[in-house]
Amino acid sequence: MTWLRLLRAEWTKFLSVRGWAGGVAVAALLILLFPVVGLGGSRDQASPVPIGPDGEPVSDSYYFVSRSLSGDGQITVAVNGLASTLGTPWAKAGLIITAGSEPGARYAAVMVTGGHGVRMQHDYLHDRAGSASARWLRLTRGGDTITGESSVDGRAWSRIDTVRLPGLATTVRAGLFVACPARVQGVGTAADTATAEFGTPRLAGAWSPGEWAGAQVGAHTPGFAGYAPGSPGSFTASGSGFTVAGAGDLAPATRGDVPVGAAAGDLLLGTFPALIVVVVVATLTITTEYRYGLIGGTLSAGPSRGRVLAAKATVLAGVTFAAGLVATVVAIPLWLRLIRGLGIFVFPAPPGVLLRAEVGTAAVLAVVAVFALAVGTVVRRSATAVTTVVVTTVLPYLLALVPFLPPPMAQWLTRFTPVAGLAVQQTVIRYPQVDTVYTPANGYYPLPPWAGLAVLCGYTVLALGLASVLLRRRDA
Amino acid sequence: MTSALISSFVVIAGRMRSALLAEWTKMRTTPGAAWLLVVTVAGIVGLGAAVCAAADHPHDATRLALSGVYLGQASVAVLGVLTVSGEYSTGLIRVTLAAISGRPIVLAAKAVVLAVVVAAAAAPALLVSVLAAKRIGLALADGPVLRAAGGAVGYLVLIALLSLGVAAVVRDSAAAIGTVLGLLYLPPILATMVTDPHLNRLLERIAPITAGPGVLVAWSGGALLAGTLLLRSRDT
Repeated sequence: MTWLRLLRAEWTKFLSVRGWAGGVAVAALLILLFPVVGLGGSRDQASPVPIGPDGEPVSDSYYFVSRSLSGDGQITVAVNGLASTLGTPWAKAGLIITAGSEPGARYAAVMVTGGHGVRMQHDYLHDRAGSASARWLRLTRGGDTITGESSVDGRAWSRIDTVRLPGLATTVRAGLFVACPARVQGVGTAADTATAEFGTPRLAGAWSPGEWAGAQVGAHTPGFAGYAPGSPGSFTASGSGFTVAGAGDLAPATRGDVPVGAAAGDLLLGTFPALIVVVVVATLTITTEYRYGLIGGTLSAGPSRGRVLAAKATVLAGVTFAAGLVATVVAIPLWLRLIRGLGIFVFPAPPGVLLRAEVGTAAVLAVVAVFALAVGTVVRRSATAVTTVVVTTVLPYLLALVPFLPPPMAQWLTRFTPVAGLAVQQTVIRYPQVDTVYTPANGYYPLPPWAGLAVLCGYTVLALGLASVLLRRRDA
Repeated sequence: MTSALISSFVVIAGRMRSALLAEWTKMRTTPGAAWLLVVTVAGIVGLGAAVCAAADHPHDATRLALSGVYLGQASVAVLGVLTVSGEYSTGLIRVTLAAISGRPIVLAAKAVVLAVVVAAAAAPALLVSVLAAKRIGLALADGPVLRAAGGAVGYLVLIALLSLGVAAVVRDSAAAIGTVLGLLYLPPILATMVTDPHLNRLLERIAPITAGPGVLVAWSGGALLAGTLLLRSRDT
């Protein structure tokens, strides 16, 4: 039989069993309709999520000791000490110039951190490392460009970065700031407060006369994790400088910061019920042949046993990919519009990322179907085959979700088991300058999308190889 | 009246005895069953030990030590499903039903043998898991720990019976095991999407993996009852 006729034979078999085509249709429907369970409940939040200049959600909260700067100017300060109650590595203390007081406003800052040395950051997304040991900081404004420098001794300065804040008004607030994100502990976080000892700031340029004013910025934004118990934000002046305690963060917001927010990847949760249905159908396409002895006819009609398996795999992969793609391509835009209409905050994702999640999910369904076909060929018993595939493609994800399991195990499970393929569904971004709970439960996978899919494909290729060897060696 | 009751009871007891013997012989001589029990023990002990080895300062050492149940329940479910659907796929079911009069007796005998076998495999496996968790500060002598381990054995037995009932309803092994595994593994995953707290609590209460013993018994009993009724009303 030619390859095309072989394909047609398998295609006809697939269509002629009503339960199989029906099963794939059910799988697609599950993906399409599943997000409905997420609609209930209240996702109200006290205040809107601040949106940064690049359109991304941000955390914008910190203790600010400020004065007005009307024009060009410079501020220099020594950070003599920085400590936080829980020792958060991204505790920050330094100098900042902000474009405005509304949440999500542009800013540029140079800072000492708890565990990452001196950094210059601006507009939430941008982070540049400076010296690890410097303790003197300087911020210089000229028009809308800001230069950050650091120094070990306050005499020899090295520039970290020069950045532009487009549209910066002439009069801005600038001064000292202290921020401290929540400390990540296992799969949870604990609020933390940082306390910094500053020397007396040296000012040059167009600073308005007046006193330093201290206040917590963004205390009511959703991303503000609060203070460590018993250590509120404060600001005290002494003869030799200021002691400032504060909490919060200036950074892109993650799922951990906006728990009421949804990610587009969440809308694909129907993948799991769909996977189980697809696994059952795919297993049956081979085990049914063994059960009814049809396999003898199939193998004697085809010239090569390997090609019979390949034809089955092609039909299965094609059907599940097509059905899955239709479901995901319809489901994501539809449900995104719907939940945005309900006022639920959704983490933004560019169209390319959404398309990758849609195509990737269809690919995961197709590859798992082929995996199930291969396992079914190897073990020849439906129940054993279905269980093997479900235990390797669904159970590890469940275990990674279970909160009482140690977090390294969750990382391991989503990196080295077939579940790694679900990385294609990640639509949120992992930021190196933000420590948060980067777990699959929050929509973050340890592997990049296509690498994750490659892991799943690797297991499938192995199973397929074993299946074709056994199919050739065994009687049938 | 009483003597008639007693004599019919004696007849049923006699039938039950031979049915039990038949089912025990099948369970003993089917190579798949023994393998599945070995896999169950290995799964429970292996996953439990792996989780305990990865844990540093566990909040709930008992749950960690017993987490092998997540894996062990899958092979227990396969055993439960195959006890019934295995006979359908080979056609043996017709012989079984012809040999033993009273179809509910057949299913009851299967259920008893399955429950005993699963309990006999699960109990030592869970004991070993608890003993292996000594490193993370678990003592076998603790009343709550022992109760939790006993509860896990009961859970696995009820999951096996649930699978048996589902298989008697569905008859096809792939569909039956798909249904059972979906019932076991999907609710905790889907719960992450459910934001309505009432719906979430309801899901937690009725999902077998998180439900209390009463709800679990209802699941298994319901599946067995449906299986019995269908077995009686259907041809085979």
